[in-house]
Amino acid sequence: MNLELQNKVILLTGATGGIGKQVVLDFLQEDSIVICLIRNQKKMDEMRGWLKEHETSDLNVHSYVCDLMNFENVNETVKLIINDFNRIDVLVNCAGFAHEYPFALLNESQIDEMIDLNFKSPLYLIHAVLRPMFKQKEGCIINISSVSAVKKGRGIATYASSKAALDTFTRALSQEVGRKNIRVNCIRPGVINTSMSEALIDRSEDTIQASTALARHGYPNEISKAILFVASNKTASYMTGESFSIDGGMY
Amino acid sequence: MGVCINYNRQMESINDIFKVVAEIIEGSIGTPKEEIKIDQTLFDELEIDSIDLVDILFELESHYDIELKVSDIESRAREELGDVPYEVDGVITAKGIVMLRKHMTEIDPSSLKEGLTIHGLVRLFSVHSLCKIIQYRIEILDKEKS
Repeated sequence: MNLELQNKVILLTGATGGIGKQVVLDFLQEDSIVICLIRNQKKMDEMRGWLKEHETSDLNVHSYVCDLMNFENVNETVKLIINDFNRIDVLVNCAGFAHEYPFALLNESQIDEMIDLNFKSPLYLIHAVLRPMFKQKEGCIINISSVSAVKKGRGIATYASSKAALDTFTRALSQEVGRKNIRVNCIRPGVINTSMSEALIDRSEDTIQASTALARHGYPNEISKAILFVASNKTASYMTGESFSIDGGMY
Repeated sequence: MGVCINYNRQMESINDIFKVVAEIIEGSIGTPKEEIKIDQTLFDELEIDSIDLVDILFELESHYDIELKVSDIESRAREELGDVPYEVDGVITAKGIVMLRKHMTEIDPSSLKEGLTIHGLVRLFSVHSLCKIIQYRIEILDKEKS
């Protein structure tokens, strides 16, 4: 099926993470233009190498170094991108971070880091991209939350709360911008085989099998394909304000 | 409406700006520009809501290549008051009201009364107020350049 994502400008955070790089690959295979907001060039270079290993040209991948937790820097970077590409069709907020630790033992900076990166930074970026999206009279925003926002888990109280906040923000913002043809949705991945979940999978594979209907963890492409579905006006033009889990039927 | 940035800003009168504003309001909410009057209030008479206003401001920013803030309209009042408070806890002070009556002559003075909140002031904005925000920003830019 042609998702009609050719030449669409996709802005992505967390592009060098396990889910993120699969998202980059999948959009490139749809002939989209992918712009990655990165913290350092080294990981971006590694990602380009990974794309080549997957026989995918990196010609349509571009990167901008940006401090996602700096409101001004985010605004300036989005202005540069608009100057260079003229539009942003889809924003995917994929950056995320978890200190898996009992809440009572977290220090101030660990709490702040999770709230800032998982919740505040997507808001900063959305705030910046709404201006061009209003002007182009369409847009699609996809927030990557976590199944922990709605399911139980230990050692993730702050992380889960920050992701739940993103879920709620998604729903509320969709009501503000829907009439301007901007769709806002949220995907909650379950336990996905990435470096972020490696330790969890290693120590809890049996529990994951026992607590998911599909009796296994997920893979990045099982999330990225859903992101493409939501991004495409061919498949999801009537979808907004929605948060849904892709978690293998976790209970 | 396309972006138009290479023109002589000093030629912009309120009447010139009004023509652009009316066209952009038409594009945003569908009201024919011929039916839009400069003294109509945005919220109550033109039935523009806050999201439409954002849309209209962004379009105007593109057209004039400037950055606009709704609070620009109050800026002159604040500037002239200096250290005297313009508002306290979101409620405009008596001296603030006096300044607003001076600078926002397009608004019915009987609406500018004690107890008016900053949020309430926005609801009194007319098409003319919007034109003045743009003119104000253009003037500031021109001053910065000269």
